[in-house]
Amino acid sequence: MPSRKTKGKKKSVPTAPVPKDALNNVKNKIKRENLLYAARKAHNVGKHKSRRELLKMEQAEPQLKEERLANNIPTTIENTRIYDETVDAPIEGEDEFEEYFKNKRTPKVLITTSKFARAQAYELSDQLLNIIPGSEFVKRGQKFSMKEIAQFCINRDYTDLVVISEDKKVVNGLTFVHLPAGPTMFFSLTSLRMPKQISGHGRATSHVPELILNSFSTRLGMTVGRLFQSLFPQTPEFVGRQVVTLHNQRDFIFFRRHRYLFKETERVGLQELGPQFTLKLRRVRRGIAEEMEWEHRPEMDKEKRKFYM
Amino acid sequence: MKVLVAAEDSGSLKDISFPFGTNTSVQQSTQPTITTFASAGRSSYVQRMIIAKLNTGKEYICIARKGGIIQLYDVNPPHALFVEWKDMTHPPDDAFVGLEYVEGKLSSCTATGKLIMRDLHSISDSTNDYYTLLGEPINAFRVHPRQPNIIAYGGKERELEISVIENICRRESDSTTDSESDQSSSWYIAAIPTGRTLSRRKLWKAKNVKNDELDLRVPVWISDIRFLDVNRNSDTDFRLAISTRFGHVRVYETKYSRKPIVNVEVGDHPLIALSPCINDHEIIYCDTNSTTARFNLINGRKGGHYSGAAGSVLCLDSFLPQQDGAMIEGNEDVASSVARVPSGDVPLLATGGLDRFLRIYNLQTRELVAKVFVGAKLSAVCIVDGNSTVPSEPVSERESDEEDDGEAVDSDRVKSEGERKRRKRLSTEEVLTDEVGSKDKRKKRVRLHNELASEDEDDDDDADDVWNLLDAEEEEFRVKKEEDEDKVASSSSATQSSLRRRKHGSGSATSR
Repeated sequence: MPSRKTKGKKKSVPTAPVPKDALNNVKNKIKRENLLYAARKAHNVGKHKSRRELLKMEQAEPQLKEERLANNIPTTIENTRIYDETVDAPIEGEDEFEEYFKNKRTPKVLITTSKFARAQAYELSDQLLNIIPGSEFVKRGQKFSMKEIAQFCINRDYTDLVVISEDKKVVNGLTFVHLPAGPTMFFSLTSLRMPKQISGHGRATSHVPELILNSFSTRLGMTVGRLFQSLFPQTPEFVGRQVVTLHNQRDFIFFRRHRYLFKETERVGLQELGPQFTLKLRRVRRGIAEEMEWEHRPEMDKEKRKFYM
Repeated sequence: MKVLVAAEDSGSLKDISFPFGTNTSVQQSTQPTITTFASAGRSSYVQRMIIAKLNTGKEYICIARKGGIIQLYDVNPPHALFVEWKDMTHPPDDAFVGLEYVEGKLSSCTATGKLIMRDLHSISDSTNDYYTLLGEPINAFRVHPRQPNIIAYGGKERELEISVIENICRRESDSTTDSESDQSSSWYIAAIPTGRTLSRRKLWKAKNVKNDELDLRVPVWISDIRFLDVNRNSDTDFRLAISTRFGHVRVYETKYSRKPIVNVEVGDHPLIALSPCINDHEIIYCDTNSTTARFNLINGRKGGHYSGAAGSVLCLDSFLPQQDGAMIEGNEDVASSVARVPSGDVPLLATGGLDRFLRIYNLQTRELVAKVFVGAKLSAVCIVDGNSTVPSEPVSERESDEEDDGEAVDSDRVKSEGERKRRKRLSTEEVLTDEVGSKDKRKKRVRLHNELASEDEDDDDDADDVWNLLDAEEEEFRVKKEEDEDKVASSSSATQSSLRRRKHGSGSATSR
């Protein structure tokens, strides 16, 4: 690589570009650097030239561009995802969310925190009360364990229990317990931003939002998607124009809340409301913290192209 | 090979056929053929499943469904329903904890202790259904694989008990002296004048282990029972292994003690089931944290893991092929009255659980032989045919935990080879008999002594006999030890000096 010093100074630069392999035989470092600089400059000039020509050709014939794009699909991690036979597998039989899907039961959600929670947990619980329609908050006491609390909820006909995990003044997890016999899912929560931190944020209303669930493809992903579905009533109020998005990409679930406005048929304006955070599924357990159904293990991170949701 | 699984989500059975080396995670691999039948909905999912061969020579799948339904289906397609028993008074929460088929008798036991024995050799005659109540709660139930009148059961805060069903008698017709000919002697249930009840006599009950290091009582919650040493010619002395929901594996020897002779905590998590291994001194357990592993019952050490499961394994099935016509201990299917001869020559282990995959492992080498996505949580699994149409190839799993497992397997393989060497010296008959042996047996004897020393005075009458027997063993052992020491003393001086040096340490070297 030519040093910054030599580039500014006027040195004799050969006009003909020298192939890089020839540079190996040049013992003089200064000479070698100059040759390399010339080779690179010529290469870049040639590249820009060919691209300008290609642009002109493609402007004349748009079909060529389409062909070029179709032949040159870049490999991304999503593209080269390891084949998973459980993708789009049909849900066989009944699972624990039958009550919600078949009988259209209105969810009744209880939100609480871990023991000795700090301010941020209460702030997030305020937000969750607004996000999940019809939810209630109960301050966590020190007397009862999670299983006991879940039993109390079952006795009072709750359908879901949400527990905000907080540690050292930072919220770091969310546990969703579907009742009465549903799965327990623990997510680690990161990148939490409150509405105040989002510039140009809107103010949410109490309308029942619409729900968007993206890319929950495998059988495990389906279960997770259904869990999120079962938190919200099946009757969205379109008047409110609010939408909650849970977007799964590479096993990270991005939670966003927007208000939309259709400007014309094709353009939509979005204003972000409410909090945004990222969830990562860590554990799924059958029942209320019984057997392990799925657990994220660190060795799963070794394979960069294998995703479980 | 052909495997039958019970899907919990749809309450159905699935017949899965595939060759060795099948892996549904690999697109190019041969895909299995799955046939679903006997769907009854999740509220009647199959809780227990076994394969029974009746005296007609035909094989049937016996299943016990939630809600008190027991059905027999044909093993071969089109899987017709052969016979069904429905108990209308059965509460829906009462789960089946045991379904056993021994010598023509189908026994089913529920969590509230309702034991029903049916004679499958005369199904149409319903007067052959006998029942009794074992008391609740029961979480594990087993019938002795050779003697259908011996049952073992236990549960939550319910210690292990062995009972004799007195109605069931052996017809002493023209039985030969050979003990292997259990097939020729038949068992029948004698009707007693009071009706269809089974009269039960308690034979043996276990005692809880000592208090733990905090002097707290160790709670009891048995999750599975297995009879060991089934070919023993005794109808009063038994060896059993149990697994608890607190992570313990315990072995009881009823001849010696009411307390376990082996008590090891294999993990923090509840153990779900036990399954027999190739040898009688190993057993396979699975727990709620997705672990399936081997456990050595003699030296109390954990063996290798059968890894790959992402979710808890709920059901195990060991497939032990027959060798040269001899009965392999622990293969309860062989003990059926008309011996079911499983085809195949590789010992296998089938596991199924909450991650909706069926995994087949080589029981010996622990390598994954086949992996099939079944699509529903599995509550029961049974290997019907263990053949491979192609030579078995180790399956290359695409999951990331495979690489790590490779390392674990290697280290475990090294360990297991050492164990295998030690195992050769001990045979099943040598353990806890009058023969003196290796260090492990000495340790075991010491442990046994400690256990017995802490027992109460108001114990069984034959405790004295046990003490006498142990005293005799102790005498022999002491004699042997003296002999060994003599041998050491008479060895060359060089060895002696090296021994001395090792004993006193490298004192001279460190004194600087």
